[in-house]
Amino acid sequence: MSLLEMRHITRRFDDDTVAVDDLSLSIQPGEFFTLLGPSGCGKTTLLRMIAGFDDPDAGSLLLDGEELAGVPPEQRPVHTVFQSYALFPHMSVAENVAFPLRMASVRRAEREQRTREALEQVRLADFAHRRPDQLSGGQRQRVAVARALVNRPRLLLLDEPLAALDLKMREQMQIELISLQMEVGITFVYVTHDQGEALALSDRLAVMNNGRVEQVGDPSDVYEFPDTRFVADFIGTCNLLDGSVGQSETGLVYLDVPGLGPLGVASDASPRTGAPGTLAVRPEKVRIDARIEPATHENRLEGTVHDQLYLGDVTVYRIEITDGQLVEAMLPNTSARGERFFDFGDQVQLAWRHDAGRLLAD
Amino acid sequence: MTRAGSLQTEAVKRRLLVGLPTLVLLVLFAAPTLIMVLATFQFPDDFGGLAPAWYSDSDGVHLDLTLENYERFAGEAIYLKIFWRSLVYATLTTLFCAALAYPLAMFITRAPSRIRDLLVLLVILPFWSNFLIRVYAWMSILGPRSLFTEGLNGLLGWFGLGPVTLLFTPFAVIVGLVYVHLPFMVLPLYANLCRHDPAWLDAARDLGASPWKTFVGVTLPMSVPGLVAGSLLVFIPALGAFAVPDILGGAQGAMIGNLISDQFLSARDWPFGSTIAVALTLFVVFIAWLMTAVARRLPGGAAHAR
Repeated sequence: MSLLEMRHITRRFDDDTVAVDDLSLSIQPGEFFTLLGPSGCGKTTLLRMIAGFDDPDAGSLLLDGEELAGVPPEQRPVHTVFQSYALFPHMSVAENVAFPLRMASVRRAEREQRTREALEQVRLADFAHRRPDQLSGGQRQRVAVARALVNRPRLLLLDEPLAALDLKMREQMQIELISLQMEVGITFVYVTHDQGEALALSDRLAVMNNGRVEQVGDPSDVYEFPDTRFVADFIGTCNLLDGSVGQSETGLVYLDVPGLGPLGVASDASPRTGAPGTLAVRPEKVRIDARIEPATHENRLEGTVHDQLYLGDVTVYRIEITDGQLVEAMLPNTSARGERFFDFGDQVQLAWRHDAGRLLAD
Repeated sequence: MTRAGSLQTEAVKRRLLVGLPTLVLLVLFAAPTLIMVLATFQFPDDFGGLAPAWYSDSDGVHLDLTLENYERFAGEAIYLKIFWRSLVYATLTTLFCAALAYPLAMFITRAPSRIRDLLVLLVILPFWSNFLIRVYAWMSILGPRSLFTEGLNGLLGWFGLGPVTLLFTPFAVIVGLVYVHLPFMVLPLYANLCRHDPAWLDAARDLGASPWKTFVGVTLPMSVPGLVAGSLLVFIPALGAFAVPDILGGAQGAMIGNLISDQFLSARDWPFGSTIAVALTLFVVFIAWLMTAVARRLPGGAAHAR
């Protein structure tokens, strides 16, 4: 049985904007689940409904098979790590962490022991008597996590908990969160707009847009096989080539893309000829060279280098195929000299395998 | 101009900036206080005012000072009784103000932002009319023939109680004091509650605290600095109030403020009036020190908050 079951959840706000629109999701026990989406996609509203700060207008929320509607936040076995951490400034680190235990009337001796354990878990045992304002951002974040975990909730909600940290600290905290989650075995529901974070952390993730779930799956599934144009575009970068369905054979569809000709894409679907479609292919799947031998199971194009973006580890080339039609290709910088493989205006050839692309039905 | 020269001008400017207010304070605050303290050791002049602090004759200059005023103040029960009464009134006023202002300040803090400023304006609106007029208005509200008093007595009559007199009672004094001082409690509390992160409340609820425990465990301790500031702003002027007890208290309600003003205006005994005033000042300083010291130690107090 799934731990948290969301069935046809809808939430509207006063001005008739729909924040969450007939959304259904189920979260399995013990998984690290991420709600990923741009701001305003409804992910925070959804999180607040799970925590109990807001109620759905329609649909039901079941935790361990029991309806959550009408249960106030303090009675839900669900704790939250807030984006601003929301540590109580008048309490020490230890008092902050002990707060949920005190509210649950845990006896003093046990309370102190569990507080100590929770602080050790986040490597803050030496900071027990500090005040929150004497801690760094990363330490505060770990206190917030310890405080939310100490009373062993069924579900831990994390609302963009790393957004306020700098890049290095964020990467370190990602690794810590993963190992912490494996250690405590509590189900995490993580909200973020950062696709890199979502891919790195999650067992499974749901991409949200306009109050709906666009796609659910494990990170590689969602990244490699986006179901919709939105997902392909929101996660990573993606070449999106619009065209119409031409001839197709078993497992392969040819898409007629104006200016580029028919492009093959592996697909189990058998769309109607003439139907609109989009070919999605990620820049790192596109090979680029001065000359590429034609091969079966590959699409090959010719163009000129339009511009390039040196990013350190990789260089992104944008190749103009015909007037205005640009295809991005990404090349790892295998040489240490920083020399460019290609220059503006160079004549190049591009190729990618049929099964490296993805046919989106729109 | 050289760098050192410009630094020097900076220093001069800074000294002027600090120096002027210091001078004003010295002339308008420290000097009168010293004169008042000196007056407590002097004799009254025959028709009010102060007798000279010294006189000179053939033997030279003699100081003409006395401790009589302090002996009188400490020695007569009536003065200590009025002092005590003032303390009780001021304490009750502070407590009632806090009890009324807290929910009001919370309500304003949590009101939609577009009406919040309007509500704050309403709190300070009474300042737009004259203080005495507002206190006299209470005289007619609490008077025996007022709609309020007659209504109340009618209600009490139903239960076989009353009738009660409201005006010229301690009740009237405390109502007046609470009314006059309420904004001084609301504003610092509001300023404090405004700075509370709403996420603290969410976090407390989320972590298992009922709304009441959230209030007791988070909101209340975090508002201690605001409560202390408000209490000082209410308690100190309430302790020295003289117009409100004069107008609403009648003969029974006299407070230290009345005692002091009587010494200056009716009894024409400036030295004794000064003595009571100095005693009051010392007491107020002690209370202010005590309250801030206690607040500093409380959770959420100044020792913890920034």
